[in-house]
Amino acid sequence: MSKDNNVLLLPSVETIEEEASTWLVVFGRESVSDQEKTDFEYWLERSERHRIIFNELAALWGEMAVLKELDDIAESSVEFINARSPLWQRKGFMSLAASIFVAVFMSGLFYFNNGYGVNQQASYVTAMGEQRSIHLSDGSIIQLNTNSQVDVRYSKAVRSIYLIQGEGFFEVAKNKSRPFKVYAGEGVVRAVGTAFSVRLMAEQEVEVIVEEGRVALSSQDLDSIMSLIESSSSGESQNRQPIAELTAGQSAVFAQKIQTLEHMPAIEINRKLAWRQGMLAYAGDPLASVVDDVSRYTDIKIEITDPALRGMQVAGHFRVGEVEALFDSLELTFGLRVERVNEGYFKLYSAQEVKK
Amino acid sequence: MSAILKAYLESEKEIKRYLKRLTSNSSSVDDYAQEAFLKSFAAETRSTIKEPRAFLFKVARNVVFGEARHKKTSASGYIQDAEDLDQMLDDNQPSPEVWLDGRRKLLLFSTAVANLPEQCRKAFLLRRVEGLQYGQIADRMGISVSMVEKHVQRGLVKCNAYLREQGYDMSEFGAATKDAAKSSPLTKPKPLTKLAEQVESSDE
Repeated sequence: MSKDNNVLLLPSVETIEEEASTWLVVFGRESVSDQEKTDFEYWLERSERHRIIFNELAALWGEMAVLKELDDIAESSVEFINARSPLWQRKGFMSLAASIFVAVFMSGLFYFNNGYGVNQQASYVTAMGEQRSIHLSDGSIIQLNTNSQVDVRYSKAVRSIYLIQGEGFFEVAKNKSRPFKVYAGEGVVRAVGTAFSVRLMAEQEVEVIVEEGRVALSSQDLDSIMSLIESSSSGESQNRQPIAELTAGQSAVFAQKIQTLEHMPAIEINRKLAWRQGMLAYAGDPLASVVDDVSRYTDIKIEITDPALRGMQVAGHFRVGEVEALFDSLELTFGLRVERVNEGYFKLYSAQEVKK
Repeated sequence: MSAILKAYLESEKEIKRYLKRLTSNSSSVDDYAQEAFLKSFAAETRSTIKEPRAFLFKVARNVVFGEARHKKTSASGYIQDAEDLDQMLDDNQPSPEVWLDGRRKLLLFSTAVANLPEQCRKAFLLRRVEGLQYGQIADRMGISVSMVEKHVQRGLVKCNAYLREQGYDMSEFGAATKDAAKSSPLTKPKPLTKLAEQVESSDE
């Protein structure tokens, strides 16, 4: 009857873009309510066009992660011609100049490598599925895994790293007089020259794997660590007594005290740290933990419908982010059935299970 | 529009003429100019640049000299050095093609972002580059959280519109990550000048 009833008209592309980008902003909040998630699912179902436009904008947002390089560019090359006050007018320059003079006299290159910035401070972030290597001024290297953040604070006396979220692998350039400390949750991992990984897990537990050299573990209460982070000091704090020392080939999970401590053969370490080469490797891990691990690298939600499947042992080698390959292998090798509910949601069934 | 992009568009010809005098290799003048824009814009994301034009010239000069120094110290050395090469592979370093491609993408996105109004650009960069939460951005900029969210949302829509005007199909970007060197739509990018002309016309 009423032809001008616009119920059947699709909204314009502009309107959908407006809404799609608003959803992307909502998902960037620190927490998203269940109501919002449901509303979003309804929104996405409204038409194919909604889904396509949302995916396009989400892809653009993801691709724009390259803009993070602007930070490195700004740091590496433009610092010295920055339009701030001339160097010699800056506070503390004269005493710094004196110490550079002495240091150059004594040890050649070391302070030069650090440029004028004996105090260095920077923050590095990776998005979901992204990995990144960071070369620090002292020659140490951080490999940052998916969805992670580190704050780097270097001073003359100490090299402090705050792992705010996620996981990193640290190759520490040796310098006995300038310890390297990684703060994660309530844990502090102290090293001189070594290679190890630190992962901040749920419940603020910290997992440490030592590939080379040795590290000392200690704990601090969260409040004092938080205040260190906020004070933007490099964190030469009164450290508690170490609660354990790990050597190459050991791994531990700890917070205020040690929860597990085990020996890890090199092959196992390589497997656990395969993410550094962009790979994920499993050798008989339970399906539930494999799914949890894979989920760290992707927004796709994977649900195991049958509780009996959770403990099933899975082995395989996958490229980070290639969830499809994992699904193929689960179907072909392990006889599971993978149901694609939608773009971002998959269910795993055992082959016999009949879908209701 | 960012002060650096504006200054760049206004003095692009002079910058290139200046670069031509500095380098013997006139074919790389365009690359140097683009690199100078990128570096200057990167600096602008950190602090306000008082004299954008002079700044661009200084950076352009540094790009040429930096390149010359790099060539002298490393280019001859490291290709022969098998150990270094191994290390490069081990480190998962991108190949030169992929790196170039990434640089072009960075240039394209930077131009899109530089084109945003100041407050919008600031909020967008704090979110996308620094990874700050909306609340932190609001504190830093002294505006409300909902205003921050609005800026980020508008920024994304405007960048998308800008890229579409330039003829980049966003659905192709997904493929670009898988095999960036071969299938990226950015392998043959438009020069910044082309982009810039349209920036001016679309700025109104």
